[in-house]
Amino acid sequence: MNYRHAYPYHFIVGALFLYLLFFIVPSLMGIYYSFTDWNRYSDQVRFVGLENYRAIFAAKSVYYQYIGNTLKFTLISNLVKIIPALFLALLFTDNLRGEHVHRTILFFPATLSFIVIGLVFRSILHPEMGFLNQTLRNLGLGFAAKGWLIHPRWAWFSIYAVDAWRGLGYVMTIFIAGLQSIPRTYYEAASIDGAGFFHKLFSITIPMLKPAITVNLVFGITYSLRVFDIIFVLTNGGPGRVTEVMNTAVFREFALGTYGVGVALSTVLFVVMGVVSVLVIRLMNRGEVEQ
Amino acid sequence: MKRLSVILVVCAVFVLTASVVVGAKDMVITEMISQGWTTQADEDLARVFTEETGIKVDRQIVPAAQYHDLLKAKLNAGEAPDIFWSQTNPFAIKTELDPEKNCVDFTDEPWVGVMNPQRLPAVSYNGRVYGLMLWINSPEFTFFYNKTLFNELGLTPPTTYEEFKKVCTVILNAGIIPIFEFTSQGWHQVLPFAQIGGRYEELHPGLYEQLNNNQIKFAEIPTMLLVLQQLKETADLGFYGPNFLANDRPQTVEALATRKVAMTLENPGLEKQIRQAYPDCKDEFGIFLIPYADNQTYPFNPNGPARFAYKMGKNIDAVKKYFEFLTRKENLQYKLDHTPEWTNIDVTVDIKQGWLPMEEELISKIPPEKFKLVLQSGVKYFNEQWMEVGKDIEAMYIGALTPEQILQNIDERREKMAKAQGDPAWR
Repeated sequence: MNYRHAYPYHFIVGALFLYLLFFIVPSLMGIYYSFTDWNRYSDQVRFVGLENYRAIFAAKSVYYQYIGNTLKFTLISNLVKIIPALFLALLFTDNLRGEHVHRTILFFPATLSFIVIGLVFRSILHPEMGFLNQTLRNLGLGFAAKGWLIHPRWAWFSIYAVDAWRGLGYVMTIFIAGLQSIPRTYYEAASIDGAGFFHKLFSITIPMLKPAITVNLVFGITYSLRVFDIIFVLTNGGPGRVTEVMNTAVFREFALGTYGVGVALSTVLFVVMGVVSVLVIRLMNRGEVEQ
Repeated sequence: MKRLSVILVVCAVFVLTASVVVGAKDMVITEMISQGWTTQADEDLARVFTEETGIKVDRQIVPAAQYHDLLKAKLNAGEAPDIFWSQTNPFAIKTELDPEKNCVDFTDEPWVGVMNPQRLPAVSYNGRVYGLMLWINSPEFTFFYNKTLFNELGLTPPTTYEEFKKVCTVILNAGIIPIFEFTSQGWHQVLPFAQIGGRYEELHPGLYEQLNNNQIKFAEIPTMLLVLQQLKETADLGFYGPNFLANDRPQTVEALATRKVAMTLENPGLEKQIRQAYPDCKDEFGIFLIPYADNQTYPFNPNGPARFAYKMGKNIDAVKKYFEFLTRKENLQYKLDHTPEWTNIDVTVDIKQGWLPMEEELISKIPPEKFKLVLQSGVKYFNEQWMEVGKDIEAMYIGALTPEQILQNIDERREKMAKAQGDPAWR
């Protein structure tokens, strides 16, 4: 069959035009504006070269902390979602009684808005009146009651936990779809050969799940690098500025009217996101290419 | 064919009828408000306005910690609601709102005369009036304290920082948290620093002018550093209690009425709220001036939150009707009578005001020369960064920033804003 005739190139012209207009052009404009002093107070936009980037990467810049926080969030939030989600997916594809109910319950938080999650968890995690600390105290575990969202030591921990609670079901659902596409015959053959759970996991499940892992990693990394909502509603970057990330900083720059610095920060984030995503995809596909 | 024509005619009639009905009865004006600036009385008035005109008011109340940034982001994106509230300041109105670009000019509206003329500069720009400010004229954000508790503990209102510390220590030793502070909304923690601007000016005559002309920096003013150090010490000594970072303003009434705390920075109307919510509370309350840096100046502030209308909004006539409605005498009286935290409204209309004895008592004791303009109303590029300063002060409380760094940050942000506007003093 001649595929070139089946799908001629002009079929993509419309979609390509819209993509260029609404994604590529604004992105390029954003990169251009990051080299200007674009701000709310003046109608004139002057080219300032690397000044905005110099401000971001200056020796005493607070943005280093925000970049570090963003990378830390990316690493930890993905670890605490992907690993448990994989095991939950394995559990819920193993003919567990009521597995559909369990899957629905776990997926449900992903359907809630961040505002609702923020209001609910701010209440649950309140140090005095919150459900969590009250329960701990009632169980005689008062020593474990902490200032979950107000103490610098616990604020990040609470964000990871709430983020995992919200995102776990989504990641798990992608894994379940991947697991269901693995032929059962592989496992049956492995069982006959005497393979145990971990042997099957590392020799069949994980290699066959690579596409699902890649999807979860790319989605997870791009979400984490762009994280804003969950932090905004839970801590608003606090206490102080302990939980500030790149996008909360972008938001504050826009609020201050210094758009140039804001888009420069976004551009830095865009570059990091692009590099990391390409690396992850290449890393995950390397085995397949070699095969 | 005939059948098709009938269907098309019916559809056309339906669409036209629907659009006429929607246009006449379902006009909605959107109003965005920060949580602490509005009360049930505003909700009631909006409902009466809807009954009278058929125009609905969709009131969007936003948590205070997010309001400032959200409003500015919406204005910058060209997506502001029909009505938005903003903390006013004649110095900041250009940078905060850019009124000529974003706000409806109300100069010729008859209700402009309802506002106290002293408040007009705060809602005006280049001689045009853009906002409607219906706000109180009380001793704003002084220390509100439990007078009965103070008497029981043999305490009198402090006038110096050392006296203040002694008072707090006695209260703490009695098992009561001395001060109710909340940082969760992002703004309250800045008040003790900014409301005593008169004290800075008193110790450094001409300071406001020097700051506005960029002849001196915040970081060069020892009294400001001292006040931040004293604030930090207040937190470190436990005078705010262990979990003050999680406190929120709505808890204030209960905390004061049940003696969980002894004092807080609030408006005198808090007493009315306590009487209403806790009728069994027999304690008496009073107010005293913020004693950081031994301040005894009265915080005079002609500015306050005000309503503005979005110039690019599609319902400007409806907004004008709404503002006219709000400024009618009977509606102003309703607002005052049903807002427990207010004792008066600063308007020229002859309504029945309800000043509290504690307000009159405090004001009567203060000599005229001690009435001083607060920092945020006297100094450029400070009010605009109020929430950022709030974040910095919170960071200082947890040990992540030093008082010196806070002042440097204020200077850096002032420079950024001034340069962006081409302020000649910063060239």
